Amino acid sequence: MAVINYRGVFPALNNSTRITIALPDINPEEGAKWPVLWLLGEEGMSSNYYVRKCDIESLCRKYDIAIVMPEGLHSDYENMVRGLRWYDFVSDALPKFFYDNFPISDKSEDNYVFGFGMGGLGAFRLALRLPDMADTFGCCGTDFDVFANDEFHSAAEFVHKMETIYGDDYLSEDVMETSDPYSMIEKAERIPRLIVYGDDSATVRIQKMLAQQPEGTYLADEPDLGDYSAVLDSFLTFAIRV
Amino acid sequence: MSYFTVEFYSDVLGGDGEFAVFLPKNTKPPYKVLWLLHGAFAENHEAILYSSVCLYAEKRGMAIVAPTSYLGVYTDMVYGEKGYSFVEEVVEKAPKLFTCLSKERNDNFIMGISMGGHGSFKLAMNHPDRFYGACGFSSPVDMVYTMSILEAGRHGGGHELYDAFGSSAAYRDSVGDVVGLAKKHLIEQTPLPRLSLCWGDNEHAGPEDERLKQIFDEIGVKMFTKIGHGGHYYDTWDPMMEESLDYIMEGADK
Repeated sequence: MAVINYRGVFPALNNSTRITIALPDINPEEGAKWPVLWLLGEEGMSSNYYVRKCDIESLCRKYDIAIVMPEGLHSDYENMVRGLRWYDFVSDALPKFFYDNFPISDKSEDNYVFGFGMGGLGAFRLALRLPDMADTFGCCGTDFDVFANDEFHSAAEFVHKMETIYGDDYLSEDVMETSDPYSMIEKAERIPRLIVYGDDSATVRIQKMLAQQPEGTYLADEPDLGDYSAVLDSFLTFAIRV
Repeated sequence: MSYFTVEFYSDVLGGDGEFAVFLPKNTKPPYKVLWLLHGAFAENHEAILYSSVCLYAEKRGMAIVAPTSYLGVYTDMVYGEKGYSFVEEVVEKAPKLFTCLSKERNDNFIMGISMGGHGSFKLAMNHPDRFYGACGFSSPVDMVYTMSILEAGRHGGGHELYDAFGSSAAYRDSVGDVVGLAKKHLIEQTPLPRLSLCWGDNEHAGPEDERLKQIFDEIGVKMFTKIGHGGHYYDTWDPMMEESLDYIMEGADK
């Protein structure tokens, strides 16, 4: 078992970032490559958040899987109009960096993407934009009403956040088509295995839309949604088909 | 740059071990590796914070791996942790985890600060097939001699050295007897790593390092040496690091 904390500059981001990596063994067999869970961070949280929040080491060992936890600040994991290119980072530069430098498999069937909250939004969008990136995607506790204000922000804060990430025309048709979860499902050419945990009205709406999709989209039984370890255990059990 | 700190369960320590990894930019893997050993009573980030070693490695397309070794004495202590076996464990396992690190002899170099120089020469002499070059800065490389002057009351060290090394007699002919190992390699005609040892003109390590230079000259072990201006600290060592690195890396790319 090894836990690695990374800090460094990614050219794709043109900025320094932090990543926490959990590997099931310090001594892998020569040439062996682990499957990997890309576990995207919640809004504003550091890359160590999930290590504090749940039992990452046990999950890592139980499923013999590498878990890579990047941070995403307040980006929605998008290429921000006024900020960094987080989507390019998480969809391309991040996995390439780990395939090149660690014994981590680059095969789609060995890759899984999951996130809680904002990280779940990132995982959801990756699933619909890059369905071949991973075998199974999942999210939990994600606010799918991205372009409607929530209870956590004032109106001014919400508009500022939207303009920062999506630009002044954040309600434009172009933005809706590429970034609004409901539009993305309607326009998707293929939806991969995608598990959406949650019971709020927006999530239920997404679950119903996904249920109408062709084969390949599944919904799992609900674990205790407040128990992050249980949710990840449920996701990995389903995804890896242990 | 990319900088990692790795925590892992060490079979050798029977507990958590740690090492830091610096990866260069603008170079494609597999990377050359500089194994960086800290001094006694220090820790693995010290040389990275107090010197420009990352910049020097970057210029040479090298990664750095810097383990934290308990007390930094690089020996399996008589009373204490297995500091030498732990570093051997890191040397074996880090390239399995960071598959971008080269395991080729010509790509592997080891540097030690102060007591870390004992570790770097010790690793290199025990694994001459693994390290192309080794260097030290103000280092008690020949700990058999250091223990002997401690026993004679002519060294400022304390009980911690006895706890670590036992005695000069116990350390002689062990894996830590660097001079003994050098003589053995000469007899067996084992290719030796390229060696460099630098120290300051106003510090306690000078006489021991001068003596080692004389012994190596007498028995025919080639070693680059340089005396910088200053005491036992990074502002003395840092200006000599690039010259030392260039010496131990010379010919490695052929």
